[in-house]
Order: sequence, then structure tokens, then C-alpha cells
Amino acid sequence: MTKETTFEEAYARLEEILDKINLGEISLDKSITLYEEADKLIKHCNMKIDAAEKRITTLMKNREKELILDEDGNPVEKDFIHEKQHHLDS
Amino acid sequence: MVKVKGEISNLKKQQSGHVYFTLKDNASSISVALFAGYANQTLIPKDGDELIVEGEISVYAPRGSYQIIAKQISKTGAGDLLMKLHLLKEELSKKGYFDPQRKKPLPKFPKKIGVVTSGTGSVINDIINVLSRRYPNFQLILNPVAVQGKGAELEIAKAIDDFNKYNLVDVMIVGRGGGSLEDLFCFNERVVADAIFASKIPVISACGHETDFTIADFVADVRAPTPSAAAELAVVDKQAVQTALEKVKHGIVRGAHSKLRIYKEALSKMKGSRYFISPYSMLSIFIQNMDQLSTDIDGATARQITLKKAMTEEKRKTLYLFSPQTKIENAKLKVKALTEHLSSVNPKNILGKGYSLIFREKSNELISSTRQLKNDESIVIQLHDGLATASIKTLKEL
Repeated sequence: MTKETTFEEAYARLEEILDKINLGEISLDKSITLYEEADKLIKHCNMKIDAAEKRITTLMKNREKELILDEDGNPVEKDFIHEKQHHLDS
Repeated sequence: MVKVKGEISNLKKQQSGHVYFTLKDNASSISVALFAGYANQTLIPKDGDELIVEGEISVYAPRGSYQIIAKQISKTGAGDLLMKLHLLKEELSKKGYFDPQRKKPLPKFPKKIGVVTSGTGSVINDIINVLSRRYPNFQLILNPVAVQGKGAELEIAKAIDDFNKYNLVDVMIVGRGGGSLEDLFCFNERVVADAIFASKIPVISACGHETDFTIADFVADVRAPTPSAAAELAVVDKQAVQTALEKVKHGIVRGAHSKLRIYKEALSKMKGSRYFISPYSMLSIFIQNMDQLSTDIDGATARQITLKKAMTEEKRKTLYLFSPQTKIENAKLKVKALTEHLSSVNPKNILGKGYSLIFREKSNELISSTRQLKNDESIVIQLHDGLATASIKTLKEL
């Protein structure tokens, strides 16, 4: 498992380990190794789930309905005010 | 009385049998109420039908809008919009735009979710609400567009293209709330279908309500019945994922424990086996075999030794027979026997037993017969211890 292991990969591996531990004829040593691997995978998955910060943005457009780009040529985003939040704030 | 020609849209048929719809053309529209009593039994109007409506103008007070109370309706032909939709659908279907094989799977955990819809109104709020509930730490980028009216289809198509061009999101929701056929029509335009078809980013369509189907819905990778449903499809329920993770974790822990228990049980069972409790019970057979074998070997060895000894003795004896000493002994014995034999045949010894030898005195000739003698002849008698001389007196043959 690397830092780049996706949640899907980690989760798929977890399910594989679950099957192996519960159904497969595996040695005691192997089951301990798998258990340790699973422990790491679960931590990894939890980290992935919590990794992102909630962010809601909207793309900025000019009057011609074209995206406004920054100097690097990437679209400019600004925080989108959720209408309900907006109402509460104002 | 007025007579108006147009295309039916937004048709609603009430339980009561009254029918309400909008009659429109390219430039204008008006509401029509067709009450049950006037409804033509042979002509059941539906969306897209082009009709000629005859009736009276009235005002619908609650909305403050004009409407026609229809007295008579007659058909003029299939509606342009529906015909256009039908033709486009046929064409795109033939081109493979709707093929299930080319539908992309949605990412399970999109880092960023794109939304192509109006920047105002309930759709974006519904989406945000659902996402917040399901996956509190989601990231969303809205590309605000017009979702009805002239040019909306171009904006929508461009927004889809731009998300792809700048690779901004992992999945996108394209849609709007419910509306009339005309309202939704931008989602039936070829340019939108092309944009969705070309999108490398998976597209969830969400146009209108449950029953509204647009071309965009057919081309999209996944069609959601409503924008809220689209949001639910876009992300997994974090709670559910965490629960699933917990479940997997629990399953693995339980599996590992049960595995350990199985080994433990097997181990203790093994420990209790008679072989471990009483090793002799297992070993006795071997020990006995070993003993027997040892005995056998001893016996065999002893027999071998005896045999060898006997053979050696035999050899030794043979050798003894050929030894010089034995030869000498044997020779001595032979000499002794010969000597004894010789001695037994020595005439002198015979004389000792009472025999005697007679010689002619003159010639010393040994006399063995009376015929050799004459009367008065002198003889010498040899006895074992001396000689005697005698003369013959008589001779008589026997």
C-alpha cells in the first residue's frame, strides 16, 4: 500500500482479506499478516474519507458567458454562497 | 369566440376529466382549459400535439392570466417539437450515443463534483443539501448556466466541455428542475447530446422530474430522476461507508480471532492426545521392535561368531595336520609301528617263544626239511640264547 492507493483499491483489498480470513484455508502466520495489513488499510480508508475539506465554489464568467481565467490560464473560482446560508447570514 | 392554432405542452388531465394545457407557438403561449363536458371523446390531446382550439377568452382570477375556455378542439398534425425530438433520438440512437457499453462507471469517491445548472433556484440547493447530508466534506464546483430559453443549450454544452477542458472535476451532474417540454428542450438539443457524448468525465443527467425524459438522459452515463437523486448517485453515503468499513474491520477481527481459536483448539486437542500425555504409548511399539531387532541381531551375531569359530577351528586343524611337527610325530609313530612290526617278525624274537633254527654244521645251511638231513650228521641248533650241537639219530618223515 502506498500513499497513492485509492480508497477503492484499499477497500477492495479489505474485502479480499475478509474473504481470505473467513473462508480461505490460510496459515496462522498468514492470517496474522493479513490482519495487520487490514488494520493499516482501514486507517488509510478512514484517512481518505476525512481528507477533503468541504468546499463549494462557482466558476466565474464574463458577460459573454465565457469562463474567466487566471494568469496561468485556469478558470477562476469563488466560493459559492449557498442560498439558504445566504439567507441565514443576511 | 376565438380560434387559436398551436402546440400542446404542459398538459394536465385532472381526475374530474377536465384537461388543462398550454397552447403555444414560437412567439407566444396561452393557457387552455378543456372542461370535461367539452372534451372530445375521439381526440385525446397530449403534449406535442398541434391543435386548433375554438373557445372563449376568460380570465383565470387566481393567477390573473388570460385563458381560453375551449369549446372545440381539432388536430392539425404531430407537433414540431416532438417530431424534431423523435428524429434526433432516432439518429443518435443509430450513431450509438445511447449504447450501454460506452457508459462510464461513476467514481465511488469523487474528489470534486461538477454541477452544470442554474446558479439560482432550488436545484443547486437541493444538490448541496443532499451532498452535505451524505458526504459532509465534499467539494463541488458549480458551472452556472441558463437552463431554459434561447441559447441555453449552447451554455450547457460549453459548461460540459469546459469541465473536461480544464479537468476540473471527477464526475458532473447536468440538469435542471422539472418544467414543460419547451423548458426542458435545451436538454433535447444535439449540441448538449454531443457534449455529453464527448465528455471524458462521467455525466449524471437530472432533468426535471421522474417522468421527464430528455435526449441528455439517454446519452448520460447515468440518468437520475431528479437533481437530488443525482446528488445521491454522485457520492456514497459517508456514514454508510464508515459503517461498511467498520463491518469489514469487525469481520476481519472476528475472522482472525476465530482462526486463532481454531488453531488454539487444535493445539489443545493435540496436547491432550495420548501421544503427548504418554509418549511410551506411541513409542512402545518402536521400543519393542528395537528390542526384538537387537535380540535378533545379537543372536545372529552369536551364530555367526560360533560359525566362524568352528570354521577357524577346522582350518586350524587342517593346518595342524600339515604342520612339520605333526609330520614328525606321524613319522615317529610310523617308525615306532614299523619297529614294533619288525620286532615281531625278528626270528630271534620267535626263538624266544620256544622256536629254534637248525643249521648244517658244515655249511651253516638252514635246515627246514628232514630230507636235508642224514643220520649222524651234525647240526647246530640255535636257541634264543645260544647254540647247541647235536647229531641226528633218526629221521622220519611225517
